[in-house]
Amino acid sequence: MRFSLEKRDTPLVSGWSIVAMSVLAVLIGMALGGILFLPFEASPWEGYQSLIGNAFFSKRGFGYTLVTATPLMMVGFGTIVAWRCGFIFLGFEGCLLIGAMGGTMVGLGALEGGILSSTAPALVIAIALAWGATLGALWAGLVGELKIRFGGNEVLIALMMNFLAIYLVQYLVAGPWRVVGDMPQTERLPKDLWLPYIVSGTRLHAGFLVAIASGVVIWVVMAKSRAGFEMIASGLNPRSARYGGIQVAIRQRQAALIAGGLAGLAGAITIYGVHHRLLDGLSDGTGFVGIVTALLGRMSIPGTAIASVLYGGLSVGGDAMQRQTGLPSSIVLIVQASIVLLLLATEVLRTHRIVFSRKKKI
Amino acid sequence: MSYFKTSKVMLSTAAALMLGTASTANAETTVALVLPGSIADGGWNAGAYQGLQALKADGFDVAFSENVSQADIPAVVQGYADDGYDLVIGHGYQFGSLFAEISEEYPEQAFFATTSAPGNTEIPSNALYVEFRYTDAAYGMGALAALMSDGKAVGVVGGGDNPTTQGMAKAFVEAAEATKDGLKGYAIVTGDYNDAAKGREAASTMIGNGADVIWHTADITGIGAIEGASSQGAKVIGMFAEQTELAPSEMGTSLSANNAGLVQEVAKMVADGSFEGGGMWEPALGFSWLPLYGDTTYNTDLISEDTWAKFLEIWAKVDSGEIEPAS
Repeated sequence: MRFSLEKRDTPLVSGWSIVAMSVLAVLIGMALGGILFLPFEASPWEGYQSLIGNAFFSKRGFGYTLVTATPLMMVGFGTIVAWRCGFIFLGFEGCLLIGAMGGTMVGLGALEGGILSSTAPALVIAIALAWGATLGALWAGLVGELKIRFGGNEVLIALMMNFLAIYLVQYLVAGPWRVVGDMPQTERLPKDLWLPYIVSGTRLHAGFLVAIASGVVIWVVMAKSRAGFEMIASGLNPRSARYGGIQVAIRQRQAALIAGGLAGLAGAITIYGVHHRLLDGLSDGTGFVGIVTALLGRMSIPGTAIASVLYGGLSVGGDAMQRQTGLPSSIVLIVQASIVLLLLATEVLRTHRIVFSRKKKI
Repeated sequence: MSYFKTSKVMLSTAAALMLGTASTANAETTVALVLPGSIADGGWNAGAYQGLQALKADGFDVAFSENVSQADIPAVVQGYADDGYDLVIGHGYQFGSLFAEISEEYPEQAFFATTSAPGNTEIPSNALYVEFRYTDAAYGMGALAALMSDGKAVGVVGGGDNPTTQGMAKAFVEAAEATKDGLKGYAIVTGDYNDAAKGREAASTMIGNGADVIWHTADITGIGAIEGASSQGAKVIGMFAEQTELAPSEMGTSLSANNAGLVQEVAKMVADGSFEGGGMWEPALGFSWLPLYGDTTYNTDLISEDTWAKFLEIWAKVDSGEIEPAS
C-alpha cells in the first residue's frame, strides 16, 4: 500500500470543506500530541478537556482567549494589507513594540507632574493609542520607503529593525523609564488610564472592540474601495498594475503605513488593556504569530479573525492544560505547534487529494 | 512557629479571620507555584518544585507553571488566582511588585513571593515576602572560611555589582578577619553572574595573594570560581545549591537556599490559618540556608568536628542577632 498526492481538477473552495479539513487537522494534531502525554502518566482526554473547556466554554477563559486574540487579529489584518499589496513585511514585532513604547510615553506624561497630568483620562488613552499607531506606521513606513526608493529588501530590513525596537524598549525599561527600586519595567499606569473591561467577570477590555472595528474598516478598504483594489492589483502584478495607471509605489507606501499603524495600535492596546506598563519581552512573538493567523485565515479578514481567536484559545487553553495535567511546558508547546503546522498543511489538500494504491508486482 | 520571627507585619484583623478560616486541612488547601525557569534546572526552580511535590505527598492539591516569561507572569498568576487557589507562590524577584499590586483584588487568597518586599509600595495583608538575610549568611560563611583556613587569607567571588553583593562581600571579609587574628579577607565583585571565566580569574587572583579558601555569591561565575580554586588546590564553599559534585574533595560544604522548605512552610501556614501577610517573613538562618555536603552537612576530611562546632556557635549568634554584620 502506498499513497501519493494527485492534483485536483478544481480546488476545494467551499466553507464546509475548509472547516472539515481544519477540524481533522486539529484532531490529528491532538492525537499526535497525546502520545507525548503517556510517559508523564497524564491523561490526554482530561488535558484536552481542560484546554477546550477553559479556552472556549468558560466565561473567564473565553475572555482571556479574546484578549490574546486582539493583537493577533490586528497584526493579521496588517499582514493582509501589506502582503496583498506585494509588500512582504515581517516587522510587525518591531511596530508592536514601538507602538507600545509610544503609548507608554503618553501614559507616563499623564502621571503626576507630567505635561498631560490635567488631561481627562479618556483623552489620554485616545492620544496614547493614536500616538502608538502613528509611531508603528512610521516604523513600517521607513521600511517601505527604503524598499520603494532604494530597492532595499523589506524582509531583511524589517527583521533587523525588529531587533532595533526590542533593544530600544530594553534600554528604556532598564534605563530612563525604569521604576525606582524595581525590575526593568516602567511604573504601572493608574487604573483610570486602563482600557475599561467590557464584560464583567472577565478581563476582556475595550481594545477588542477596536480590533473588530479595525477589521471592518480594513475589509471595507480592501474589498469595497478603489484604494483596496489598486493595492491588491499592485500585489498581484505590479507591472500590469502600473500599465493600468496605478501608482504602485504610493499604494505600497500606504500599505506599509496601514500595516505598521495597525501593529503599533495593537502594541498600545496591549499596554492599556493588559500590562498597564512597558516591560521587556512584552510582544513575545505576537508580531510573528499574527502573520501565521493571517496565513491560517487564508488572507481574509473573517478568516484571520477566526484563526486569531482559535490561536488565542490554543494559547490560553494550553496554559490551563499545563496547570491541569502538570505536564512540562515544552509538551504543551509541541502540541500547539503540531496543530498549527497541520492546519497550515491542509492547504495542500485543497488543491490535491491523497490517492492510496496497492504496489503492483512487475 | 518557633523558628521564625515576623517583622513589619501589618496584618488586619479581617484578613486574619478570613485567611484563618479559609481552610484548615491540607486536602482542602490548593497551592499554585509559578516558576520563571525550568523545574529541571537543578537549582533555584528545582528546589521550589521539590517543595511542591512534597506538599502533594502531604495531601495538598497542587499545580505549577514553569518557564513563564516576564510578560506572561501577570496572566498566569491571575489565572491561578481566578481559579481560586488558596495560595499562589511566585518564585523569584519577578513577582515582587506584581503581588503587591494584584493581591488586593483577591482578599481571600494568599500570595507568597520568594523575594524581598518592594520598597516603594504598601504591602497588602494577604501578600507575604521573605527575607533571605544574605548579609547574615555571608557573615557565617566568612567565619567558616576563616575556620577552615590554614593559610593567611580567604576570599569571596561576587556576582552582579549590586548592593546585596557588596553587602555580602563586606560581611564575609568582616567575619573572616574577626574570626581569626591576622587572617586577611579578600573580596572580588566581578559584576557578572554568568561568566565562569571571570570567576576562575578572580579566584586565581586571590589564591595568588595567599587565599586558601574560596566562597562565592554568583551563579555561573561562582561555578568558575569553584573550578578555578579547586584546580589550584584551594578549599571551596558552594552557594545557592548543593555543589559538592563540582569539587568533591575540595568542597567543605555548600550553603544551599532552602526553597523547598520555604514553599512547604508557607503552604502549611495557609492550611492551618496562621498565614500572616503584609510584610516580610524572616525565617531563621538555619531554615533559609542549609549547609549540605551530599547527604550530610559538611566534608569531614576538610572540617573537623571541633571546627564545625565553632562555626555553629557563630552561626547561632548571627541568627539571634548577637553578632550583627557592620555592613
